[in-house]
Formats: sequence, C-alpha cells, structure tokens
Amino acid sequence: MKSLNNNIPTIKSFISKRIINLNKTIILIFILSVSFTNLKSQHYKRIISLSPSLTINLYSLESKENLIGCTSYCEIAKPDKKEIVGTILEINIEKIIMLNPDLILATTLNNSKNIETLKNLGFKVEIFSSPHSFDEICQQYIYLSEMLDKKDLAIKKIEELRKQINNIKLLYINRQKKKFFFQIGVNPIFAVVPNTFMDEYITVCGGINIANNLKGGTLTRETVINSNPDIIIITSMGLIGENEKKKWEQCKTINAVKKNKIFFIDPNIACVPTPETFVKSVEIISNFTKNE
Amino acid sequence: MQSHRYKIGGNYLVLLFLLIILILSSFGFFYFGEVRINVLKVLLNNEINEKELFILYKIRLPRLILAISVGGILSICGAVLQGIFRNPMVEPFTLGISGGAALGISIAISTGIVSYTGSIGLPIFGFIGSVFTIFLVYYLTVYDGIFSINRMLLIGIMISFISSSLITLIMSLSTKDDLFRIIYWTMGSLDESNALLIKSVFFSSIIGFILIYIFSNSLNAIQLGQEKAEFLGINTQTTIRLLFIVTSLLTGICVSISGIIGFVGLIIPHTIKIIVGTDFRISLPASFLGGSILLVISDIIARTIISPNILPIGVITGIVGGPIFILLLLNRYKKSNQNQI
Repeated sequence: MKSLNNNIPTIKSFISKRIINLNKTIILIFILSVSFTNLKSQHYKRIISLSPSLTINLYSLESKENLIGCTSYCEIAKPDKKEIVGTILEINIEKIIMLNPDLILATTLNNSKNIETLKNLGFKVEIFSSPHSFDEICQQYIYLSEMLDKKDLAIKKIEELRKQINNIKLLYINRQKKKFFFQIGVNPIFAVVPNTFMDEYITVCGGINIANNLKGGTLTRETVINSNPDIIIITSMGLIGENEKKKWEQCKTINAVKKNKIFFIDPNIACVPTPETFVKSVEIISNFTKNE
Repeated sequence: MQSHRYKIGGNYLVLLFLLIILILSSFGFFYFGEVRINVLKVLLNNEINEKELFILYKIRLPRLILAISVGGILSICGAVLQGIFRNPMVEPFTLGISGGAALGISIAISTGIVSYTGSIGLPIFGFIGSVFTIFLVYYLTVYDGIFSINRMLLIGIMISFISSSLITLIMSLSTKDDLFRIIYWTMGSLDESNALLIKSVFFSSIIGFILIYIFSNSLNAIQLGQEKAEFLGINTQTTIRLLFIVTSLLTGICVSISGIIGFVGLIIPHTIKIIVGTDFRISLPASFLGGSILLVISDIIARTIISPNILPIGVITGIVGGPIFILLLLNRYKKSNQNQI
C-alpha cells in the first residue's frame, strides 16, 4: 500500500486536475482490489458483522477467527476483543474501511444509509431480512454457512436442533392449548404478534397467542384482562419488567395471576433470531409450562 | 455616522473571523476520525496512503460539503423566518416542512415503494412531502385572498402536529424493519454517499444564499413592521411570500437528504444576532457561516467522542449549541441590566 503511495508524484495543488485524476485512479484500484478479493474467494476470511444475531451464528459455525469486527452489542465476541465498528444506530464507516473486510454481514434493521454508503464504496454487503419463523432462521443460517464453507456443519447442527424441537412438540400432543400473552414492550404494552419467530415459541409449546388477531403489537391492558391468558411471559427489562409484573399481579381475574404463572425471559436469548437461541428459548418456555 | 461605519467594519471582521474558524474547523474535520489525516501534509508533501486518501476523498470530503451546506441553509432559513414572522421561536421546522418530509418518507417506507426506487427514493419522497406541505400551508393561508403572517404560522404549526400524529400512526402499524428505518431517518445524519444528492445540496445552498441575500434590505425594513416597510416602498406581501417559498424549498432539500437535524436553525440566528446585531446584510452571511461551523464541529465530536462508535449528530448540535446560546443570552441580559443601573 505504501509502495503505491511512493509512485505518486509530488502534488503542488489539491484542486489541480492531476490530483483529481490520480485520486480517481487510486480509488478505482482500491475498489477493484476489494472486488477482486471477493471474486477469487469462495468463502470469506475477513468478515464484519453488524448484528448480534449474525455474530452468534458466525461463532456457532466455528468461524470466529474470520470475524474482524462487530458492533458493541455483540456480547459473544467481547471476550475475543474483536474490533468494534459501531452500534445499531450508527456505523463507523471509516473504521470498516481501515479493517478492509471482504464481507460485511448486515440486517434490514441496520441503518440503510450506512449500508448504502458501504455498497457504494465497493464493499460486499450481505443483508439478512428479519426472519419470520424457525425455518427462515435455518435458511439464513445455511446461506451464511455456504459463504463460510461450513455447510455440512450447519446442516448437522440444524438437524440436531430440529430433533430437539420435535421432542418438545411431542410433550404437548393431546393436551389442552394454553393461552399465552408474550409481552416484549411496556408503555405502550407490546405483544409478540403472529407471523414472527417469537410467535412460533408459543405454537411449539402447544399454546395460543392472545395477540393472534392483532396486526400491530400494541394492545391495552383491558384487552389482556379480557383475553384472560393462562401464562404471561415478559422479556426481562430490569426494574421496568419487575414493575410490569406487579401491575399484572393486581389483575386478580387473570388465570396466569391466579396460578402464579408470570415469567421472565432474557431478551438476549428470546429476541435474537438464531437457530440455537430459538431452541434455547423454546426449552425455557417449555419448562414454564410442561407441568401444567 | 462614524460609529456606525466602525460597527459595520467590526461586523465585517466578525465575518472574516467566522470564515477563518470555518476553514480551521474544516481542517479539523479532515484531521479527526478513525485515522488522523493532515490535509496540509497531503497538499504539500503528498504524505498519504491509499486507504487514507480513500477515506479523505470518499467519506470526509462529501460529509464536510454536506455539513457546510446543510448547516448554512438551516441557519439562514431560521434567520429569515424569524425575521419575516418577527417571532424568535420560529425555525425552519416550525412550519411543518420537516413533518411533511418525514411523513413522505414514512409513507414511502411503510408502503414498500422505497424497495422499488432504491436509495434515491427516500430523499425524493421526503422532498415531495415537504413541497406538498409548503403548498398546503401557503394555500390555506391565502385561500380567501387575505394574506396573514400569523395565520400562516398557526397553520404551519397545525400541519406540523397533524404530520407528527400521522407519522406516529404509520409507525404504530409498521413492521419492525420499517419502524427502524423511519426512526433512523428522523435522527438526522450526514452520511450520504450519492454524489448527485451532495451536489444538489451544495449548489442549492449557494443559489439559495444569493437569492435570500438579494432581499436583505427588504428584510431589514420588515423588521420595523409591515406597515413601515411599505412606507419605505417595500412590497412586503410579495417579499414574504417569495422568502417563504425559497426558505421552505431549501429546508425541504436539506431535510429530505440529511433528515431532521434540530437546533441549528433556532440557535445560530439568535447567537449571530447577539454578536453582529440585526442588520441582515451582515447577519445572513454570518448565520450561514455560523450554521456551517456548528455542524462541522458537531460532526467531529459525534464521530470521535465515543470512538469507534458514532453518535447521531442531532444529539451534539443540541448539547454543543444549546449551552453556548444560553451563555450568550445570559451575558446579554447581564449587560443590559448593568446599562439600566
């Protein structure tokens, strides 16, 4: 890189035509070198992940050595002291340029302006949409594994996880379906809605989501009381979550309150769409309900 | 007469001082970041490697142009609107322009139109939303043939509230992905990689400044009140209408590309007024330079204060600009109280 710099003739004026042309040439060389690296490699060696779930998947696919940067929310990568390239709100484009990745993994929840800039700069960016089901989570997992040349490992892991899910499903055959209220937000009250991977936790555990008829996730306390759920699950939000539990406990008519069936679940597990966290969440929820 | 001339001369010195600060802060803008790039060394000795040159040319230079242009536009628009409405609380976003742009963008995102148009779709829909709001405010102000500046202000504020409620409605019905996109846009950002959009903002800021500056004497007269300005031969209604349209379009262009970057259009015109007085011939260029300086310095702080993470620029404009403005304001009241004693 420095040797290329030595070939550049001395510049007398920044705005001269010469430097502008030279700048363009160097940038073209840089972009071409990035593109060429991408073309020649079937799987990627220098990866930046802009989402905690994708970082977890990289670790799950035994590719942590290929991860060169991630967000400050990627807890799993913290012990390995991976370079931080931003948060969910803002991405440090300059840092990414300095790290020179051959692949950037992003989701549709990342700031689209940042992603557009990265693409325009010539980086290979793979964008993963928010999965709506376990099947979609698995599809994305396998797609990622192909880029890492770890497809066999991914298929093996998915088969194992599917077996675990099927075993949990068997527990609920011929059992009366329980009504679930899965709360992921307070003020306004926000419930897990149908056509989401979190809704599938409920169906796997033989339950019915009381928010089944809702299009949006917001609902009133009255609606919940009227629906009379048998089980309330709250993604733990620290003190706010504790306060929310106390509020529900005041609603004595709700079955879940009568039978003391209000539970917390860690959002770092339940809200993260990866095959392993999905199964872990199902196991936790199943433990809440299997003795009912 | 002589003291007035001295004052004008002093104010030109302020303009020169602001220009020097802008140039220095631009050097700082190039210098600070993930890598430190000394532009002087680059210009004189060509001491730069290809990655640094890439960052300088493709990241920092477009960002600097956007910071200078957007800061300048928002600030002069704030100064003009405060002048024509003779209301210190008015800023470019008060008349619902930002609300209209945000509504246009929210509709484009939630209906999925953006997925067909690509990245250029957001600024286009933002601009359509702001232009629609401008003409709605204007039409409702003059629909019965009577033009009232107070009515325009009230309608603008109401349109702003309606837009805000509609955006909340759209957000309530949106999917998680769409919700995030709307929130990101409303936070404001100088991250724009489309060269055409950057050029549009840059040239709009120059043309807009020239157009507004032509009316600086008329704006000085309007400060005395519409009736007195008309005695001085100013067609106040035409002037106000033209300035409203120009400032609104300029604000619409800025908002549709960089999102809502608050405080600049409110704080800078006031601060400049405290420093150079109310003469628009001086306060307009000073406001432009002041707004540019605020955004350039705010972006340096936003990019470096929690590095490698980056803060949204709107957070910094409020934190940096707000206290400076309060200090200047308190200092001004202190001086005026001392003079009274």
